[in-house]
Amino acid sequence: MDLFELTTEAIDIGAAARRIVPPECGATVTLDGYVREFTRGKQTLYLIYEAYEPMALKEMEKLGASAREKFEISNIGIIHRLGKLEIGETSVVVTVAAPHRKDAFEACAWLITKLKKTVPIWKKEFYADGWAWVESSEP
Amino acid sequence: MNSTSIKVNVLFFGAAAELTGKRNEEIAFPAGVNAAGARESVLAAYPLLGERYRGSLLFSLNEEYADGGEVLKDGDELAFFPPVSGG
Repeated sequence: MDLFELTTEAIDIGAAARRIVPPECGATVTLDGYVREFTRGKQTLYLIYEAYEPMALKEMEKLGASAREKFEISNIGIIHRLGKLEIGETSVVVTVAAPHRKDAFEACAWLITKLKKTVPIWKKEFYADGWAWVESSEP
Repeated sequence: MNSTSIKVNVLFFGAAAELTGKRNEEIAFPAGVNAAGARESVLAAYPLLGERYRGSLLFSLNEEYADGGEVLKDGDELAFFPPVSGG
């Protein structure tokens, strides 16, 4: 069963990864994306994520469908945290179960790259001397 | 409501909400306007938004990315937002 969720609660990565495992699979690759303290030398104190929630869920489901067409994978889980996050807290989990690990690695990398470009979620970083909406996400 | 205008529920997210001071607004457009035309009107109505995001403001119609050519209907949901930065 696939899993697409937005939540303001802390994400249990291990539980998310296990929720998607079907019997035919032999490998799950899970990305744990978390709040980075230093970006290009500038210190972040905390950040806030905002989403266009219904559209974000639709876009996550579309990415799941595209990933399944491109890679030999079984189930996909994507959970994105919203609201205020402290340094080190998990902001996004992308977990992919596949019969073989190679497809799971490739699909997981493809999914997070696409998520950063298409899913309508925005990040606002707060610093000691102000704040900024983040606009240039890393490739 | 007459036949020459339609009402659209317009949403703003992220920095676009801050620059307009609004998260949503019902806006009347002339009947037949397409999504790109509505985007131009909104950029003109909110100069701060236009200054910052004229070239990059994204938009969706009824929760799907719009390409601009879609003709708006009464009751549609049109959302405007900066380039996304999730992950």
